[in-house]
Order: sequence, then structure tokens, then C-alpha cells
Amino acid sequence: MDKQNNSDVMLKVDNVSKTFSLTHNVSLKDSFVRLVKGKRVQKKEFKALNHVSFEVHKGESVGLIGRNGSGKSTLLKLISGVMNIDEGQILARGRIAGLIEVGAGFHPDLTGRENVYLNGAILGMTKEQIDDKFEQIVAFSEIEKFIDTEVRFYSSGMFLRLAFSVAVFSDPDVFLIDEILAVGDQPFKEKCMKRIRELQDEGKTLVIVSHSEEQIRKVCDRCVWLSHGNLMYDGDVETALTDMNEFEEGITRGYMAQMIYESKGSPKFELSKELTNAYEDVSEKLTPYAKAIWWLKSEGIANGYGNGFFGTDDLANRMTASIMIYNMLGKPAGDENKKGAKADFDNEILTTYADITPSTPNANAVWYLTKIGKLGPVDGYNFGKSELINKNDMEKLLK
Amino acid sequence: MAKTTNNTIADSNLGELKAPGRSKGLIDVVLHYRYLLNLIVKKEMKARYRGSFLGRIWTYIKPLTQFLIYFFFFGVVFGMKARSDVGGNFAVFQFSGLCAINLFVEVWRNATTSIRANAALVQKIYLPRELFPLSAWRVAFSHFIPQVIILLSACLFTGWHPTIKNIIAILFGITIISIFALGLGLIFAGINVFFQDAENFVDLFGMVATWATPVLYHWSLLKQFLGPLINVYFAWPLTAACELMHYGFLQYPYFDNQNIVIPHIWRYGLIALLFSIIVCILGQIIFRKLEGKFAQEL
Repeated sequence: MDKQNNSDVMLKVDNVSKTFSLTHNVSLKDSFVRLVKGKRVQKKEFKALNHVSFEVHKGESVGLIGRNGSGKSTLLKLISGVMNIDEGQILARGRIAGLIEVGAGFHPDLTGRENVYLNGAILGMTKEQIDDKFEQIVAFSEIEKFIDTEVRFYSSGMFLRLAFSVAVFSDPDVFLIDEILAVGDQPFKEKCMKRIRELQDEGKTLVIVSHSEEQIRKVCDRCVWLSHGNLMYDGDVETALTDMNEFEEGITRGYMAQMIYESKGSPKFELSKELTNAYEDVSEKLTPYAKAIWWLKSEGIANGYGNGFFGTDDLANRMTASIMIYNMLGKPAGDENKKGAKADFDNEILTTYADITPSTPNANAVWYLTKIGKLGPVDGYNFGKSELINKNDMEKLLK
Repeated sequence: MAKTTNNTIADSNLGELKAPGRSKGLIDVVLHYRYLLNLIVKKEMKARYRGSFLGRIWTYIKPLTQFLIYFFFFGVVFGMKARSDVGGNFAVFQFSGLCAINLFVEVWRNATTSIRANAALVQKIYLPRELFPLSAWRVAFSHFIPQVIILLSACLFTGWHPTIKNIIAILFGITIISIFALGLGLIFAGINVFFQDAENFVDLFGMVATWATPVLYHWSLLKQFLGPLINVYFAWPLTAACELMHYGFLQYPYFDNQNIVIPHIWRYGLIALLFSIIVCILGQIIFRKLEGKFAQEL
């Protein structure tokens, strides 16, 4: 993107970094307990964006791609100004608004009409602008009949359609779009797509976050690919998508077993009948990873699905990886099956993940790996236990 | 749909590159976000009385009940009514003070919870965050005004002939409270995002404030208990504000009794105003320091 002409830069992201602290606020009681026991609060940080730079020019439609937790949404929040930047700067020209979290400003006690005005104003429109666009907004949302009904009586589809319509007519100079067209039925989606095309024809600048490759291909002229907060590629859409898919493709459980085995220098071990018969789907004829899997079994690092299957070809997720690595490290925070093993964490659970239940057997693994900084949350709240894990992630974990 | 194409942005209008998510705080809200502020206030009002049969009548019922209880106990049972230094009208004395203190407590409390109450918006769309404490301030005023209307009708009914000085005193008092409460509200709204203790503190202090201010009793009653500390009591901004209300509603030129309000009321009023302005500026500074982390803390 070596456009020399600086005057048509609408958005400039310049060496931007953002770090989140994972240490939660503590209560007086916690602080006191910690003081008495002499335990320190460990500061754990999670780098959501790492020196990211790119520019968006007038009339461009740029797609931000990457998996969950890659930093896309954080970047959008920084661009919209909701969050502050730690390092670097973002500059933008004109008014920025968008379809981020459609309907955030909607209030159930207000009528559709009142909500249109309130949200129009929230998105930066003046009263005159809203008056002007009102008919169009209502027509687009297809809820003319109910416009003077309180929004609480709307179906969720109606609600989202109206919210989307306001946003789509809010007419900013830089349009931020997060997960377009998760809204409504097929005809409405097509209508939204058409409206986005119109915006493009009007010369609007669009920044789009989407997981749908189809949408990215349809709408964007360029892609910025983020992975773990790093900018991996900035340029042609097809190249970005191909590279990303290749890079981010999840590995199988068998492949993961192989990686762990190799990371230990492929140690020699005794094969017993018990080991070779442990899994129906693992034998040297069936899978190249058999030896690695048997070794993991003999070391107690990995288990299969209980009744005789290892699931060699199933995709590995973050939970699987956590457990295997935790076991490989020798269950440092204690065996979850032993009583009282969890106690170590009770006073200093660093991160409470929404998707990890403290009393489940696997929580120790997740907490320990978080504590030593191997794994962080995929977003502010979730560990992302069922998210796939790729080769690159796994290599990092094994370091 | 063809109409929209007319609005194609002209390049020259876009202005300079600038950092998003910056505002000039309160000033920006007042200058550029008035329309949105009005809509947010309207929303708050509507949400508050939704599904209520009596609706806005509640804004009259609550302070009236509060007043009647206090009036019965302090005025009648404890004999405040019979005192000569309450302007000959303890009902007005007490109600004018209650209006003032209620305004203070409500602005402060509403502002403190305003950021958390609007978490969805704060996290997702950038707006100058001062919008929310300021809308809380406006909502509190919409409850204050009916109370003042009751007060004014009662005064006019009992033959009140205010001079310019009286009117100035009332406006002066209200100004002090508005600025002071907004300043505190900004500080506590910011803190409340990180520690919800702020909310509890405000509740607690709201209760204390009613008694630390000459609302229900005459200030001279405290003199013998406080000794030289009475000067601290005078310097407390709410005392001045409350006494300015008393002055406005009760201190007539033809009234002999000069002891209704504290001595040097205008001087203390000025000090209170200055102090309130400092608190408000400080509030704005602290709020801006904290707001950078609102979105990720909520």
C-alpha cells in the first residue's frame, strides 16, 4: 500500500499496541488474606495488539480478518475511540461510526420512532439529518406498522432490523462494520448487502470485520490479517484468506501428540500389549502418529475418549492442548482428582473465565497455564476452550 | 434510495486527521451534544415511570411525604415551629432546605451510577462520557422543579413578596448545589466503574449530608456543641447553599429577625461557590483520567 498521496488517507493506524491487564480488582478481604499469607498479586498481562500499522484510503473497503482473539475487535474499539491506545496512535478523518454492536443504544421502553432518533443521535446524526432519513430508515427496516410501538414488543428480528437500518443510514465518513449480516433472514441480508454496495458507490470508506470469507470476498478490496495481535499480512484479499487458512488451520489430536512427542526428543520406550491395544483407532498401520500416542499414554499425558478411541483425526482445541501440556509438565498445581489440590488457586485465581467452571477437572490446567503465561483468554472473558489450535500456537506452547 | 447519493461527502469537508475518542469534556457535551443529551434525559424519564399508574405524580408524593414526617416531628413534636428564628414559617424553612438537599443527593447519586447504568453504550460506541453524569443531573432537576413549584405556591399563598435580593439568593444557592453535586458526581462516577464501593459511599454520605446541613433544624442549635468548629460547618458548601435558600424564601427586608440565616451569608456563599467550582474542575480532571479505562473495566 504505497500510495504516496497522503491527503486521501481516511484512517491511519500507526504502530498501535494494546495490553490488557488480567488482574482483577481485589476486595479488601482478598488483599488482607494475601497480606497475611504473604502472597503477592502477580501482574498478568495479555497483549491484544502488537505494533500494528496500516492505512485506509478514501473509498476503500478493508476487511479485518483473523480468528477469535486475534485482536480484530480490540482494533475496532480503538478505532472507534471506545478504548484508549497504550502505544502508537490512530488518526482518522471525519466522523467514524458504524455497525458495531448494533442496537447498543436501543431502549425497550421507547417506541421504534423514539429509538430511531435516540440511536441516530448516538451515532452522531443531527436532528435534521434524522428527520431527513427517517422515512428511508423505516422503509428499510420494513416495520412501518410498528414504528410507534414500544420496542419491547418487537421480535428480536424486528429489533435488529431497525437497529441495523439506523446504523446503515447514519452516514459517517468512516464506516466500521463488525460481523455484518448476522442479522435477519436471507432477503434482509441481501438488502443489507445492496445497501453496503451503495455506500461503496458513494465513495464511503469501510472497515469490515467478518468471519465469513464469502462476505469478505464480496465486499472488500483489501484485507488486513491479524493473528494474536500481530499484523500478518496487508494486501490482496485472496492472498490474505489463503495465507490465513493455511496458517490458522487447526491441527489434529494425532498431530498434536506427534508434536509433543518430538518436542521431548522422541524418547524410546517399552511398548506393551496393553499400550498397543489401548485405542481402536491407533495402530502403526492406521496412523503415522501411533508411536507418539502410545508414548503419551504410557506417560499419562494424554487420554482418549474413554472407551477405546483416541480420536486421532479429530481437531485439537485449546482445552485439549492445555490438558496435555499441563500433564506433560507433571501437573504442577496438583492432580485435579486429588482432594484439596485446587487450594493453591483459591486465593489467587488470576483470571476467571466465563467458559471454565472452577470445579471441573480441567480447570487446574487452564489456570496453571494462564498463571505461567502460556495461555491467555481469547477475549476479555473467555478462555476459548473449544477454539481450534494451530501449528504455530502449539509450537509456542511447547517452547 | 437515489436520494442518498446527494449526500456524498465533499472531500474538503472532512478536515484534518485526528485521534478518535477525544472530547473536550463537559464543554463539548454542552456545545455539541445537546440534542443527544435531551434525548437521553427523555429516555431516562420515560424508563423511570414506565408501568407506573401514578407516573410522574410520584415526584410530588415522595418529597411531600418526607416533608410531612419531618415537619410533624421537628416542627410540632420537638417544637421548632415555635422558634422565632425560623422566619415565622417553619414549613417553608424546612421544605426549602429539603428541596436543596434532595437535589444535591439525587444529582450526586444518579451521576455516580450513570456510567455503570449505561455500560452497554460506554463499551460499544464512543460518546463524550460526561453525557451520562450530565443527563443524570438533568433528570434530578426535573424532579427538583416540581418541588420548587410546590414551595413557590406555598410561599405565594402565604403572602411572599420577594425582592431581587431574595431571588438572587435562591438562584445562588441552586447554582452552588448544581456545581458541587455535579463535580462530586463526576469524581464518583469515575471511581464507581472500578470500585462499586463509591455507590455505597454516596448513599451513606447522602444521609449524613441531610444532618450536616441546617435543613431540619436551625443552625444556632449546633453552636453550643461545635464551639469553634462551627466555622467549618459554615464553610461546608451545602450549609451556605441551604442558608441561601432560607434567605431567599424567608428573609424579608421588613423582618426584624436577622438570625434566620448564618452570619456573613453572602461571603460564605461566595466561598462555597468557589469551592464548588474547584470541585467541579477537579471532577472533570479525575473523570477524564479514569475514562480511558471505562470500556475495558465495565
